[in-house]
Amino acid sequence: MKIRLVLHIVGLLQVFVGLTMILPVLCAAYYGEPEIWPFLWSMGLTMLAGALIWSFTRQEEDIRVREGFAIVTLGWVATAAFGALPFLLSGAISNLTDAYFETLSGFTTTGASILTDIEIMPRSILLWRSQTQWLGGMGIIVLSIAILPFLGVGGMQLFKAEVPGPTPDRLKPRISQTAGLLWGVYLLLTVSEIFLLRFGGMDLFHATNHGFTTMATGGFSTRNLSVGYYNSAYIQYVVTFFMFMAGVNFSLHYRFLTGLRPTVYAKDREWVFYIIILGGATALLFLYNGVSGAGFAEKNFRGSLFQVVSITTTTGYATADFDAWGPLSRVMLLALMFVGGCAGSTGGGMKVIRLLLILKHGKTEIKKLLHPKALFLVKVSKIKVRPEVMLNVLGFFTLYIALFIFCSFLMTALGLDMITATSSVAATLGNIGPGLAQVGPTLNYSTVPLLGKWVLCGCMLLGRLEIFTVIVLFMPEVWKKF
Amino acid sequence: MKAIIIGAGDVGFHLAARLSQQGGEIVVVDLDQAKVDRVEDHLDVLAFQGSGVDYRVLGKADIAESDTLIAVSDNDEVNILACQLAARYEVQMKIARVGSDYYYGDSPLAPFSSLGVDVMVNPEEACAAEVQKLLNFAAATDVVEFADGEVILMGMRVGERFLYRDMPLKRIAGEFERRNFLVTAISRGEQTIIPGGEDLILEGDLLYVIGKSEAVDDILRLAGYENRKLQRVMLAGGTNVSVRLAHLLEDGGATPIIFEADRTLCATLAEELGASLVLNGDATDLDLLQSEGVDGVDGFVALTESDQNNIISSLVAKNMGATKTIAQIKRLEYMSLANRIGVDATVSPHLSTVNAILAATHSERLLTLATLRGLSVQMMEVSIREDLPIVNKPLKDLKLPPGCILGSLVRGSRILIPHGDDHLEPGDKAVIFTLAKQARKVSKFFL
Repeated sequence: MKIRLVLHIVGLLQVFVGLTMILPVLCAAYYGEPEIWPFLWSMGLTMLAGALIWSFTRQEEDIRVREGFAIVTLGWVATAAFGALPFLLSGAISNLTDAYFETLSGFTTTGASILTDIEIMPRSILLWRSQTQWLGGMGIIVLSIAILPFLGVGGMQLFKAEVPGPTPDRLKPRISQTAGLLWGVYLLLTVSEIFLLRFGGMDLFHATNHGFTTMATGGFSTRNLSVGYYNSAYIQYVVTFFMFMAGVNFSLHYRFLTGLRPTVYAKDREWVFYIIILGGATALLFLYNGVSGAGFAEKNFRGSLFQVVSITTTTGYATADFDAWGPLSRVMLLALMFVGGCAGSTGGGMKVIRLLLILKHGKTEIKKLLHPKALFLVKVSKIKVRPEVMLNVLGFFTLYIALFIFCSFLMTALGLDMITATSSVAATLGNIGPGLAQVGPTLNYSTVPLLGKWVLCGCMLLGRLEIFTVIVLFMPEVWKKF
Repeated sequence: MKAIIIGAGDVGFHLAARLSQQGGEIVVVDLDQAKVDRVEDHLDVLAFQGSGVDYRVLGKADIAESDTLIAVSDNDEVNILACQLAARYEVQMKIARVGSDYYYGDSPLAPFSSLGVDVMVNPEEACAAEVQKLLNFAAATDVVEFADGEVILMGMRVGERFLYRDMPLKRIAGEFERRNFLVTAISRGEQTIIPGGEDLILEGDLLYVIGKSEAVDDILRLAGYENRKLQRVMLAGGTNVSVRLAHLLEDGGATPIIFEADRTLCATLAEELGASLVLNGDATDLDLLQSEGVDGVDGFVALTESDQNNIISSLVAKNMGATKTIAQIKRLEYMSLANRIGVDATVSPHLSTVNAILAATHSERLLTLATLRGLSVQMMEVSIREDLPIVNKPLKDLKLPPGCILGSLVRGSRILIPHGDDHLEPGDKAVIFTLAKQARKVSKFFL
């Protein structure tokens, strides 16, 4: 492991992240908030620390695959640490663990919050909170690749380590172009949502915050009641639509925008399966809630749809206390936490494509029982799935479930009841945010014991970086000098 | 540059690496998925599995927007056909690797231009020509020509008779009357160094010296050698490259001695090569080498299909007294290694092809592009534009990126080896050396 090289790039990343703090600085200036000083200090400290690390580890060597993993993992850990400075320095969150939790929950687009009252927070703090999600959504590393061309060839290793999904798409020959295009689509959708929310009556500040956190499928809201605060059907449908869009493979969005043929979506089997899951779950929930007393009005439909899309895409907004819904709803929503968005989207979870591949694989195994000598191929969107990819997906699934069980065990051992323990792990591993019971949509993570918060921080990071990127660093051979 | 490369073998891979480093947008196509994966894993390029003459694959590769097509698959016909298809998409530069003789020729019946290929590169011809150059400059491990042959770059291993031990380069320069050359790079062990005035030359170093062609003798003197005319050259293996080389040597007045184990092939060789001595035997047969006088032979060139045999036979011949040994090595990664274990020079049809193609993918301002052994140093011959900020300033004041050195300048009909006080004028043709990693930065400086 070329440690100097890793530190070199991580340092550079911090300078970059520090620079982005300019936005909350401007916000604080506009609203005349005293928090402008903690932000300026944080910005200065972060950029200075980053610059120092960067210049003391000057390196001309190339990034290999293993350095890619280290840079992405350490980069995220460090970014969350420096990103927590504004919270700490302004006193908005005075506990170190809580501040780190909230910041990491931001960057990993989880959306689990330790804040008991969001609305008393200063606007610049809230903006930074939402901004961490927006940066983490498409990826701080991907953004760097788009903007810093010299990350060139090494950029590819970083791209693969940060972008979720079994085999990330390359849209253009150079990785910096692909990264730039993804961020371009991301920006376009964000701005569109902000505009449409304004049109629905939301003021610019809140619209911007929600735009940021929707497209990142993060889920931080500026309201204690999350999106449920806004009783407008229009606003809830707009948010639902953009959550849905954020959960789609951004390469598909790019191809649609450059060709304007809607069949681009329908031809992608993962997208079709995504629709089926969302549609099916919404229908089931709607019927169940209807029968359980909510009736079959539009409100029930809107609520069911919103919650299903929010949880499946791993956004984590709430327009209802879904924890108070019947037991079947709670189980279904818990199950949906494992699905996630499509590969190449900002969603978390296991990703729809993996689920699709596993189901197809299962079907093939059953067919082989009937025709032992037959050769069956798994195909998705008319492309043959190679055995290595299939094995990788199965491995991921196993690791994910194993982690879920292990961490649930840890959380229970730390004192949480079973539902809270398991749902908190599912919600952080899948980067959704709100869980059930003690960490339900109307509550928060403040009651989780200190050690538990750190376990959940681990889950958030593992989930966002799709496990392997982080786990690889636990193998001692990776750290050998070469 | 937006280029499509057909064929992801050794040649295709290295071309993609070089061109991508130069900042080009490259797409690579190959039938073999494993090769495609290798390219995608290591290079900042796009790669597809498929046939280079499949219009759908070419469409995916965005051929309509491409300016260059380089076809270097194993198959001549596929390469030529790919270029013809590219012509339909108005691709400006179409380069094909064509190994078969019958596509070349001066005769009016020869189909060269009507085939639709702008540049045809024959790997064996390129390789044979390179071997001949190396033999002509007996002490050199690399020879590259610029400015239409007036400027020459030579790579040489520091010889036993090196006179300038422990002298910094600045002082060594002072020992020569006419400063017609410049040490542009030193390969020491695994490192490549772009030297400054204070650097020393150590034994075992591989020096890369650029200078006016007339200064060849001085350059050789620097490294402790004299130049000699070739008389007897041994060639191991009766391959196509061997045959071409034998013709070139015969034309130059030398006597090739060819070792070939296959008797029928020997008969064919004997028929084709009038002035050569064809031996039916193995070049690793020590008795045969001894009896045919390997001791003192001007050159021993191992050209069999096996890299390992070539290396071994070269080392054996060297041990038995051959003056200069050259081995053909197909695996580009082994070339610098072979140099270090005692083979005087290495050639590779693949590297010759890569260099020939890089030379052809020039733009108006980038006249020549070549890489050296080990592929960590790149040379560019550039025509200096008048609107560049580096024009008319003394060289020592230009803040050139590290790892870059200006080797020579051709101004009108004069050739200059530049020193700190010289300056660049518009229209100058400059040869610049850089470490391959800095290539893109350096190109921006000069282009």
